[in-house]
Amino acid sequence: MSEAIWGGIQGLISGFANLHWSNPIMIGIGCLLLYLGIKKDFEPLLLVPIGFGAILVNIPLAGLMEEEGFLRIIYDAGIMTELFPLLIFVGIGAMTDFGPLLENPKIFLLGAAGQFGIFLTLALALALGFPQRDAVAIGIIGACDGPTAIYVTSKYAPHLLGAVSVAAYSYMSLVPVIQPPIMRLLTNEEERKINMGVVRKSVSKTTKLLFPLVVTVIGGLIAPRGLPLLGTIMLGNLMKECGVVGRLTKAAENEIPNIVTLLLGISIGATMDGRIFLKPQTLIVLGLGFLAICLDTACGVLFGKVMKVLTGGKINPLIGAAGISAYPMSARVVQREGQKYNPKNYLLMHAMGANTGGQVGSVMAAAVMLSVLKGMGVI
Amino acid sequence: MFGLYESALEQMTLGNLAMLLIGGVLIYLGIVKRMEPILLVPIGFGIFMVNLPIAGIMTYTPDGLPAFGGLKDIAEGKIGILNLLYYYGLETELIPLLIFLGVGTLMDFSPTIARPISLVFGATAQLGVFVVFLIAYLSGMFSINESACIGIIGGSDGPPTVYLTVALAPSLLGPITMVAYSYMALVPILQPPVIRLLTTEKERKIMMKPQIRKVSKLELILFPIIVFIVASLLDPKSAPLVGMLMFGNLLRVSGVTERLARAGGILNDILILLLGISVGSLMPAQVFFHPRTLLIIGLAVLAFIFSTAGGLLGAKFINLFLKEKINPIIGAAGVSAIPMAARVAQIEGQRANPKNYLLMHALGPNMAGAIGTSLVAGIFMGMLR
Amino acid sequence: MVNWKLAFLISGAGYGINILVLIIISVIIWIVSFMIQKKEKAQ
Repeated sequence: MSEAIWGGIQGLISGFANLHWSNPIMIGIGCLLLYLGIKKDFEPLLLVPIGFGAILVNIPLAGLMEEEGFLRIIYDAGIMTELFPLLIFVGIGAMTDFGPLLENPKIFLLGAAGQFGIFLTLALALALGFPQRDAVAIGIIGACDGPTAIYVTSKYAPHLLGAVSVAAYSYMSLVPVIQPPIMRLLTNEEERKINMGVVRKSVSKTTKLLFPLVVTVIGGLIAPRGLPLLGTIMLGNLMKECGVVGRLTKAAENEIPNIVTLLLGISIGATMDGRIFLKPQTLIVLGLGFLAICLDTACGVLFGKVMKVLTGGKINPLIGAAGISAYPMSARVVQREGQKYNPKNYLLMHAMGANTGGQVGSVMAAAVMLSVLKGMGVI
Repeated sequence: MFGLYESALEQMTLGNLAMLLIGGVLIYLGIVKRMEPILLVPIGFGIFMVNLPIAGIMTYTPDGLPAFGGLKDIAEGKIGILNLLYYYGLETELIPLLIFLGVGTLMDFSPTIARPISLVFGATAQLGVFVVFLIAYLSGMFSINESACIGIIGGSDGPPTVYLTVALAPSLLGPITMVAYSYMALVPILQPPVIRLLTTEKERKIMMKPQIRKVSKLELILFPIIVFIVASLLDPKSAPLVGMLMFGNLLRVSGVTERLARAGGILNDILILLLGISVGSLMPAQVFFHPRTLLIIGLAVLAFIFSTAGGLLGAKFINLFLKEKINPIIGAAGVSAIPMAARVAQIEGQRANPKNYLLMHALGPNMAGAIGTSLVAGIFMGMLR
Repeated sequence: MVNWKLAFLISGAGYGINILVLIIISVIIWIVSFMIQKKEKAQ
């Protein structure tokens, strides 16, 4: 036991003595994430816990992610079981209003188009030599949706969880910066001015109730692998629309996602041990993720142009950019850009439709991707 | 009864009855006397639940610890639901650590940052921990691990006490936690005599400016980060405790994570409830009635007294080097019973000098004490595990 | 068997390390605070 005592006294130095070269760098990265979250307001609810978790796990000898470490327990309980992302998704569903989408269902196509970035990036990652499971996780960054990305990555490429989550959440915050240039590049002045008028039809309550049910059943039949994701977001939405489970809905929108986000964030940060994270492929993942979102925006806008032609000029291609799942930021970006070119244009509602369509679209895209790959025997 | 109906009355022992009484006392202290009610009431109730025989809400191994099992074993009656709560919440250290996170979201470290020397008072006030550790061990009644856990009661901070005891002396978890949380409410009674004994009238009269310096947001944000990194590098085993406390604090001061800080608060409520029930359920009659438990109660009083002394003497020592003297009474607030010890300092200060307003100054060491206790817990873990 | 030497060693070293670590932390905090205050006064 004397050794243990001397060990304790030497403990003052042992922390430093056991530092792997990657640890200080990761602690620095953790601090960077904290800075981005706190000072720059990048998705703070996630980047702050992730940043702190990254610092926690890179303290040598503390053993927080070891077999019995308490971070490992939270990780096993919430991420390995997929419990955390799914619980958050219930909350997201409870906060989403599919009204604008239901009023103009063809907008849903934009939500689908906005997901092409996922598949294009998946192909690119495969071409670059990433193993199939890793490529899937990299592509899903293009879904622009936190829980979906976490779900897919923790299931199929857990070692990339840190990189993918950081990429997904950072880029989501950067949407107001990434999208406008692409939107401007792919449209001409005249297209951007198209006035889409005010949304007129109102959607019946029955429709709003049936929507989550129908989507769940049909989506689940077509792409069963994604049913956990699809089902939970639709459950949240159903709870909100039915109006009779107010207390549950409130809990799903507030208490539950608050606590879960907190625990989720720390667990993700806890996967960012320097030895796993600091590899050249992490940088490539970050780069590809960025590319995915750009491609999403581009495809959405391009498809918007197609729809403009098909509807005889009634649709403003700008709203295609809202076809990604960055809700509601993307819709607001479209609104701002639209007003810049035509102050009388109020694109927000239409963009919201596309945005919520993108929400469903991203889940469906993930589900389809998983089901296809499962069918091919890849996963 | 009559071979038809199973009641618990026949299985009741005298010990069970006595424990029911104790549980009742705790609930009384909590509800009527308002002593730490959010803990004492669940603990009292937990004691009720396990001292009513046959109910099987918690089952024990022959040496008094909760039995281990899986979900199926509950259905088969081999273990009870509280066994699971013990294993997944306490044994994994999840409950005390998440409670500490919640505590961090409620702390305002401005007084500590305004006068960094407060941190040192938070350290010297850990004297009681080591004094009682020595007494407990040298008396021969307790093993070295158990003595450390009894000592840490002197740190006056719930989660580190639970954390250390689960790791080093789980068989004493019930009595130690119960004593730790009950005694914190006695701090206002135990401290003043010590303060008066160890300081002179003149020292107690020392005037301190009522306002503390205004602390900028940047300092508030950097504080938890710096404290955590430095503390963990120098004392790695304290990382979980210090980490959770500082993380909770960061969530509070960052200004952009209010939802998460609130989550910490809610977690706090849920977990304190579960902690209370678990702790109470560790005290069936056969575990509790042991001369050692009574010794622990006595030693806890000593721990608080010596910790107060440590804080006071530390402050007096530092004073020798200061041009602008601080009032040593605030050193006593290094005992981490927040905010009770700070209030005691305020009252004693006013008693000596009615124009003195020491509360803000005393809060500095008060909060620092939480960091000190965590470090000590980490030191014990490093040396004794 | 009660090991007196061990006990005093743990208490002394433990208490000492505890105080030492907090002194280090308080010095660092003080320095950082000082630098921040200087920057703010200069602005």
